[in-house]
Amino acid sequence: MLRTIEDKKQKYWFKLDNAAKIYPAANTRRWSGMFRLSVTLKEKVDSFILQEALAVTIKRFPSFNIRMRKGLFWYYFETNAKKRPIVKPDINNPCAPIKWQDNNGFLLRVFYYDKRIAIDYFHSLTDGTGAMVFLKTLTAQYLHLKGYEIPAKDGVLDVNEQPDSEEIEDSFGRYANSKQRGRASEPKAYHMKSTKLDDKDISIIAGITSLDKIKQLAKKNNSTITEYLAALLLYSFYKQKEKEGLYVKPTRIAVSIPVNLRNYFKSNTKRNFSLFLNPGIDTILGEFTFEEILKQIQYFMKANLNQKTLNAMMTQNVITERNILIRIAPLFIKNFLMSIAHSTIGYRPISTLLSNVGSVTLPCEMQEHIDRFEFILGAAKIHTPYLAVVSYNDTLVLNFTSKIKETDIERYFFTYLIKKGIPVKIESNRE
Amino acid sequence: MPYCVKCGVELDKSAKKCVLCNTEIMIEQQEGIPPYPKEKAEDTQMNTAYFAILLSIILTIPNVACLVINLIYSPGIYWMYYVFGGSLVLWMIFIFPMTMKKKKPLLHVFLIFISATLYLLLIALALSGMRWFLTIALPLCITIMMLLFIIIFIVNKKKPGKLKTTSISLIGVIILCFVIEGTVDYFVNSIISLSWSYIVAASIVPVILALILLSGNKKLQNELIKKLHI
Repeated sequence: MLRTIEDKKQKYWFKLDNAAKIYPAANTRRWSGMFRLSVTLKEKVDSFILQEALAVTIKRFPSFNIRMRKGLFWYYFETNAKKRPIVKPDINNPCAPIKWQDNNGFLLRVFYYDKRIAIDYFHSLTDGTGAMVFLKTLTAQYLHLKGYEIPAKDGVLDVNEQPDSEEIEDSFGRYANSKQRGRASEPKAYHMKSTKLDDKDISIIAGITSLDKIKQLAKKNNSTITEYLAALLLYSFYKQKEKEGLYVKPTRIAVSIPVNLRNYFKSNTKRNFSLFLNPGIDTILGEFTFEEILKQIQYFMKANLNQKTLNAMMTQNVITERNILIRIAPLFIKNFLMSIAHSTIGYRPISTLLSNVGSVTLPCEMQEHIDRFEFILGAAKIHTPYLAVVSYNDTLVLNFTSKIKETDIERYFFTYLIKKGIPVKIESNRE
Repeated sequence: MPYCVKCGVELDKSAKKCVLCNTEIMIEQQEGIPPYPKEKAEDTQMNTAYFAILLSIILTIPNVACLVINLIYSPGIYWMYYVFGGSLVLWMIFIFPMTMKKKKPLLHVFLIFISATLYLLLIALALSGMRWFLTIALPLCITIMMLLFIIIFIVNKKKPGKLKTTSISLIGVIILCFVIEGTVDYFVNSIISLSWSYIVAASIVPVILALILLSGNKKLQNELIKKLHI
């Protein structure tokens, strides 16, 4: 594979990884599996320099420098070396649906707005970890072109070095080898009642707060930040369900949490390598306090966050994809079945989703130019808010995304933090 | 920095109200760059009006072809009526809604009624069948249109729920059966003596009553879902 990458004249291609396959099938004119990572600098972004930085950076990432192609049985990625993505002024509705032929065929869109550089990624390309490496490298290259020396460390890649073949590896295929397959069956989860926004609108409500204060709060409850925030998100949904009837079926409230598998299986891939865990509570059991919900999540995470269980889940997904009957089905049949499965079975066991890409580390030379990072998930196909979390230094940004008018979940979530004495600043694209 | 007096959160300088609770900010607004620009991504939705024009052109092709064939091979006998009328009905049912930005079901039903009635009138004129047109086709078309009008109106205004909507639709079916039997009887025997439509009504009325009773009883609904779920 590495040889073909070095040979720039020859087009290289590779298969979509296991997690990537669902997104092109589920893609419609109204919905695409997108997410956004953005960085706010301390000075205004120069779009010309950003364009130059992007042209250099994209060449360093062979798994990003591609376009989507259709085979008879599967989609595949093919190099897009002849063209380059164009940077554009930012828009009010991030994570808008993608078309394969737009933006010169690239599956990422780079935007600038005042001091912000934002990248919307199609999820087939990568997950939060890979996307963050790309954003950091692009920002470092931008600063380099502005005249600052930024060393290639702390997740910033050297744009002049040859990419390692491990960076484009499908790590699912490498590690999914468990004798045990599957995961415990998950019942249907509660989906809140809500009013839909217009098709092209998206609601983004960001809460900017202090990482240290949230960390202290989580520590008081002997939990991690992700567990604490997931519990608070579930508690907000629980309060919403209380209004709609605790015992009205479905009674399970579950939050989907993506797990970065690189923490459990050694991998340097810049492509997708994550899995979802869906902890939750069942209100048929009775009333819950926040502390009880937090405990449920902690037990669930402790029981499932280990190499063996994760491998069994991963193997189940990979085995399904390797099934000969699935493989020989023509692409249009797969697309049809997978899009139905995504809209129905995919959302069945979850009420909401929380994704935490963690704390961003940067080389010291870069830190003085960076104000904060933001992470935004594309809205769900079902009408529910999703929460994306990222922190940098002491700034923790909690970003709610949805396609609904109501803001009850967001309000409950943030006012809970205010009541705990943690100041929150709200920013939004809503008018 | 503005704060929301209800939620206690700090708000952006450019904010006019709290997005969490819609409370307006009382202090004078300060200059500030909003967190997001106003411009939205281009609508990636397919231009349905354009698509409608394309389909209309495609639909015109067989009509023109038939007209030419009709004029060349059978001048004097105008069977073109059938193709043209059929195309008009198809256009009204499938292509017309694409030209509308907002759904207007009442207008759509009315236009389908007009085009279908016109189609039947064309056939009646071509086959000298004005009697069946006036005694069967026209009353049936009017009845179906009126029933659809009433059902759509009630569903849109009152939002009666699935069970009550089914009940209302079933009442419509009963009325339609009476009208069908009445008009056919009148056409064949010149007198109206209803028979089978009573049987239809007798079978459907208990179902309607059961649905109406069920729609007011959540407990019973849950019990039935529990016992009968597949």
